[in-house]
Amino acid sequence: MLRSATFAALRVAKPAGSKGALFQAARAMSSESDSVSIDLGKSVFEGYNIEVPDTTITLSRKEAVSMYQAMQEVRRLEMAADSSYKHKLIRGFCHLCTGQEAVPVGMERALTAEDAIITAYRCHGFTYMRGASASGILAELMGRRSGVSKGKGGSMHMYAPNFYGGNGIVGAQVPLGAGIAFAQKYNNKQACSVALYGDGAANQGQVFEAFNMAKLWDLPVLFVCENNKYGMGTSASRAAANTDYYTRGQYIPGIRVNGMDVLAVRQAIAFGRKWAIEGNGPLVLEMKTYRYGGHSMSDPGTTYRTREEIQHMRST
Amino acid sequence: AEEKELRRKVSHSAIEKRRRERTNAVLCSLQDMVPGLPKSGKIQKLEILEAAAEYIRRLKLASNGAKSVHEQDSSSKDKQSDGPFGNMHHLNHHLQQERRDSCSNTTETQEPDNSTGIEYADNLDPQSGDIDSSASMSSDTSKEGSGEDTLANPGDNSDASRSSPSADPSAMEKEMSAAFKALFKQPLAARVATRTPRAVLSALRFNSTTAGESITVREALNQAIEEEMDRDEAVWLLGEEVAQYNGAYKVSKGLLDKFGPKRVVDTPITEMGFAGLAVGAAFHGTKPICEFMTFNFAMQAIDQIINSGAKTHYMSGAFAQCPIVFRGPNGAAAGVAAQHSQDYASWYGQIPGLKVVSPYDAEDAKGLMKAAIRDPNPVVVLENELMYGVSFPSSSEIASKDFVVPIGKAKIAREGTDITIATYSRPVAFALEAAEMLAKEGISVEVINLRSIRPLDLAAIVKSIKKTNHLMTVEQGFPQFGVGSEVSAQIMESEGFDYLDAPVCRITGADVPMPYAQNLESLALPDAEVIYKQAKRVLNIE
Repeated sequence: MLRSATFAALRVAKPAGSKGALFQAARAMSSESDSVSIDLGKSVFEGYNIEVPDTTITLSRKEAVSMYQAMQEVRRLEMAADSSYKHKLIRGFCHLCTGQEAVPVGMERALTAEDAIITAYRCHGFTYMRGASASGILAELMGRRSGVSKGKGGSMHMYAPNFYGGNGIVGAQVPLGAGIAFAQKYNNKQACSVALYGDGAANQGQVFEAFNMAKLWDLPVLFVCENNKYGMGTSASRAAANTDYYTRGQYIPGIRVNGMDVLAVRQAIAFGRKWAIEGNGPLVLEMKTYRYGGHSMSDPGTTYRTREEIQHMRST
Repeated sequence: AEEKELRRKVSHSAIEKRRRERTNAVLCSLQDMVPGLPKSGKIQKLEILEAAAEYIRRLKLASNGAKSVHEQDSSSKDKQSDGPFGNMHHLNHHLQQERRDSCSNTTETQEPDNSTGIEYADNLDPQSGDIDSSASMSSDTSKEGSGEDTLANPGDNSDASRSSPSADPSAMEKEMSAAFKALFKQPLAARVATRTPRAVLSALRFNSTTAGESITVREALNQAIEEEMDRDEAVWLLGEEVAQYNGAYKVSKGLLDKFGPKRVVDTPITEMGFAGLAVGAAFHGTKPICEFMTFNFAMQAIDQIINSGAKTHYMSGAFAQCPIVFRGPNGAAAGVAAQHSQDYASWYGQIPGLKVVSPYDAEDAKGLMKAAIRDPNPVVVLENELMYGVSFPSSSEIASKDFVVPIGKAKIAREGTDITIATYSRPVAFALEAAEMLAKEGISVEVINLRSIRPLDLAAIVKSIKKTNHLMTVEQGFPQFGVGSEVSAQIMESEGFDYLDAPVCRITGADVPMPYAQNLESLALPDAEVIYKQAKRVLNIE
């Protein structure tokens, strides 16, 4: 049972180049309390004006199963939303994070309940990980009173404790995230805030305004760019003069992370959280990830990328 | 030889010397006029100015009450015929004087090395002060300047000092002596650092007031913000130039000194960014006051105000709260042209989830600001730059720390029976002026100061229409889709319609980007004359 579970987990979150090591190590764990030390491999992190986090991590069986299970749950949730939408039970917009599950799961495992998260409209996974129930999320999608926002928000406006949505305007959540960090610092909280945005939003002016103020005032905010290579239908290289999003903070240090590796995400966020709380100011983290589905339910996702690319990403 | 004579006359040092002599002469006469000052011997210019300021303050306290707005308005109109420009003229004059003062320092070798621009006359030596420090001038000098921002030029008697003090002159002299001694105990260096002539003069015209005196709109706002920041640790202020510069319009003067840089934050010129940051901070447990230098610049941030601020409480199913105040000057100023003169009341008034208020006088300003800060919803406070310097009578109620004006309730600024004029912000003054003009012809006007744009106090307007049967709205904003349009529509949908004897008349700004030329600018905005004419038209009177 364990073997098959971890084997399956490997399929979802496999770091490039160390398949053998992780597989062997995980296989060796036979009991709940067993812990294994894994080297994620050199390519999971790239640094910009900063020493990258340690690539050696410890992982217990319990943690491994929990993370795998969480990712499976998020996947199931998104697939349920997908089919509900196709059955016209959900209206309007529906942006799914199928394929990107490692980011919300790995992030939640590195943060505490006191830390805050804010993201854009691809928010179901984050809402779930922050404590909302699957039924609450699906009810919200269907406009029911039992939904997380009482049916008044919909897919893009979901909230949970210390999770501020769910924001429809591209890029607007980034200054909001800096503001949340400002409030944390103002109230002397030992916590950080995580402001997520996509590769498309990374070119927004207000993102750079937020960078400036965060660095100026040493706000404990992690700016996390989920780079899934496409801003709706526009590939990153067609929208950004500099696609190294982890360097776009210029005067803010940055780390590029393999966002398909849940362990790498967890490690990077833990590092970032420590960095921010210790008063070093903001950090930019780029999660290299990929969405299997289209931008939203109305986008097949095949007009701007090849099926081969999608298949390749699904299989690795 | 003629040329040489001319060159000598216009040489810089000669000009400076003549100017210095004139300044010294004026200061000497001031020294004679102010009781309690040593009439001869060594005394510094700064001390003469300080003593004069103190004397004027005491004279004001001794005399009775402040004038009404209109009296001051008309007296100022006598002084300078070009309205708001008059203030600028005086201000510029003073600033030029200042600059010349500090320039002159470099030419005199006996000047002590300080960068505060204090000038010592040739025949006066610095007085050696004691080490003991006493209560500083700033806490003593609490008074109100004249109606406009006219600065007290030496030799220019302010209206206040012209009025004879009811106190006994000799008693005044004794008081002044004592105050003077106490004042000069403080070492000069300490006083000089904070009490440049400019600082003394600005303290003259801008200070906290006590009950029974008058208060400007600017001071009212300053007091409101200060009191609310005192009351609640979570309240903080951010905006461009609010901290070290003391506010672009000096509304946040003294707040940085009192509360420190954690709570009074200077932002970079990034409206969208800092408005978003403020909204985020409001989500997570603080109560920001976000200042926009004018609401024209808030257009850059309007997405954050509306989509992130106003709508979040609703679309999160009441999960997230946004107790934020957006404030700043709104509408036309003087000669600032098209991009700096728009009135946004109707824009923000549209948005569900937002509260919008627009004060007219000091009472409105203080009460509405306090209400806005205490309100757990996002509130937009649309102030008016030209009202900042206008004085209104104060009262102990207004001076109280819990003076709050409810949002959503209008005020009857003037009772009447023939026609109702509903308006907000600066046009209230014009409406009141027009009401005076119409009263001379036997027409009784009721002026409603709306105070709140959203929620709009329709009930007050309907109640008034039942009495007068005629309605006119006045605003400075563009005519289409404006506040007047909304009031008209709502009245038509209400029982007020049945009481109207004539269609609702909207008076608005012209449908044109604000022109620069002064005559065109006056034509683009309604004033008392326009209101007067249109009121007669509505009443069908020749």
